[in-house]
Amino acid sequence: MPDPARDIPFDNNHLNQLMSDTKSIQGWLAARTPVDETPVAPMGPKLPGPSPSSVGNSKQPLDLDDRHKAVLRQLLQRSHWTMQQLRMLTSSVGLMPLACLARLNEWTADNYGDVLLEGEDPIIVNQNLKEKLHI
Amino acid sequence: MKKTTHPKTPTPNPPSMQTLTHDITLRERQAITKSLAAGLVPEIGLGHLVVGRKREIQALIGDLDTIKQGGATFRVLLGANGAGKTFLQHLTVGEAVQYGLVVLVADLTVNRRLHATDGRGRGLFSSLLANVHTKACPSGNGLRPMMESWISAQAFDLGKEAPTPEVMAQRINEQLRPLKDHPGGFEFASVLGSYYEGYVTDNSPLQDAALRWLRAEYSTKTEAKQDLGVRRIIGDEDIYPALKLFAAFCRLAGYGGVLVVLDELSALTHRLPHARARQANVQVLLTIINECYQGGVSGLGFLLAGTPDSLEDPDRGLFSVPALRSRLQGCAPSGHVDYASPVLRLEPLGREELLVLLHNVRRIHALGDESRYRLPDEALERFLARALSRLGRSVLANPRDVLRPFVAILNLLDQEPGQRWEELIDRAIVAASPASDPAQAQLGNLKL
Repeated sequence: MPDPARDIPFDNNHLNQLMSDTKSIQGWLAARTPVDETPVAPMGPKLPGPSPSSVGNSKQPLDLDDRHKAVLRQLLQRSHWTMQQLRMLTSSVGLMPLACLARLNEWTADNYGDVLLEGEDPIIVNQNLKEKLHI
Repeated sequence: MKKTTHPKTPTPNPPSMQTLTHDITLRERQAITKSLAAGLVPEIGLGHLVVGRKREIQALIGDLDTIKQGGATFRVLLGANGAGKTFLQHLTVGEAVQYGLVVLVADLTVNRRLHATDGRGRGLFSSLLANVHTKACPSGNGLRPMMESWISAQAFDLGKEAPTPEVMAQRINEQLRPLKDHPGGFEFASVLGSYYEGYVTDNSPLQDAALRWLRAEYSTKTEAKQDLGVRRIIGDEDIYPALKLFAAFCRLAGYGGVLVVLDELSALTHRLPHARARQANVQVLLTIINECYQGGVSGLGFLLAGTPDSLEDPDRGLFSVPALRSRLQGCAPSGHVDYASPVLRLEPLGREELLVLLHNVRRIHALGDESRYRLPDEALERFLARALSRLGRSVLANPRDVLRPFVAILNLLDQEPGQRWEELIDRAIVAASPASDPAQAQLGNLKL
């Protein structure tokens, strides 16, 4: 009995071309870096909020300041936090809770390729990232 | 790639897929395999799944450059269901946030339109502002974090731990003065001041009211004035101007600009029951296209997706409006594709594309480690051939019908490495077949 699987011809030329194109576009996407340009926001946020450089153009991500580091150390102690708990943590160092969340996520995205905190309430700490963080 | 040459379908030395891309993270693997197993398009790690379409992707990424450099773009992805419109939209969203853009995402529906008179325009704006994707919040809950980030930066610049609401209101007004040229710009600044006041006075309802205003959730000016002291709201007819205002704010806040992603274009062309409503929505589209082309807007782009009839239906498609036809219809000679055209047409995946897609999924499942591949190349070809034989060519139009059982096989082989893939393939295809009877599918003992 004929095996239908063996009767389906693949166009090998097309397949080769496709794999080559796929390799090319995947490599292009992986290597793509933002265009250099004049900063768009001369009055944009500076620390502790996202600076124009940290928002998307950064080649050398800014380091965290002491207040954000203090919050980060606390956050890493647990797998998740309620919004109320985050609010208490950040207010103890004079930061707005979601501004702090955004800053930490941008920092980990720039330095470790992933965001640290997800969700709104509760806020989940990315456990895969936790082990890699060096602060 | 381990190559097991098939007697009748030899694949001569395809380029290695092993060294294609950057590392696959565990999080990406989980998101991709779980999404595919559920028949969904994943939201992260899409670069690992890409199959061909180099020129289309480069065109879409080129749009991001344009937006970031202060330009404006308008693009429509056109293709049948299953052709990959949603995939390319998600891919573009992921690239855009990494690029420092803010991305707003929503589906157009009867209740979410570009123009309405009964709250349905505000419904679209509200949906877009509820799905704000940024680098810090790539999964779409980014509005509050981006607002707080900007406000925090203003407070930081004032050099005080917690400036009074009055001082901050003055600061915000000064910094957002360029927005006053936009309708609602004055109120926008005032609302941000209220948000900060709510923060320092521990007044959550005031913060919530500010967010309601930003999301166009106030239906009456009276209510907004009562809660926030502003005389203006974002109304059904203000959706496009409000998007321009938001884009201007994002540029001031240090982002590269805003990309607005709208799926289900046919909702505007084919699901609005009244001609007048369709005309009003089409008119907004025309205004958007005109301004994007003529340079009347800065740092803002639109990426829409729809099926071919949303453009080409002679009665209701956008091409039935001469002004839109002249702007959207390409002029490339027959046999050529103009990737600079505002409309990118996506053909359904072919057999070879699906095979490369299976290679990608196998590689993702193994975290890029060839030694962990659970299936040889031969199995991928066998699987696809079986799927085509059993499920018919419809699998080409619905790749998810192939991907779901394929991921299930990979998962099973991970859990039970002793299983023979030849048997699993047959059983998985049977179980995935819509025509298979439940008992037979159960016999397959596959959790698909």
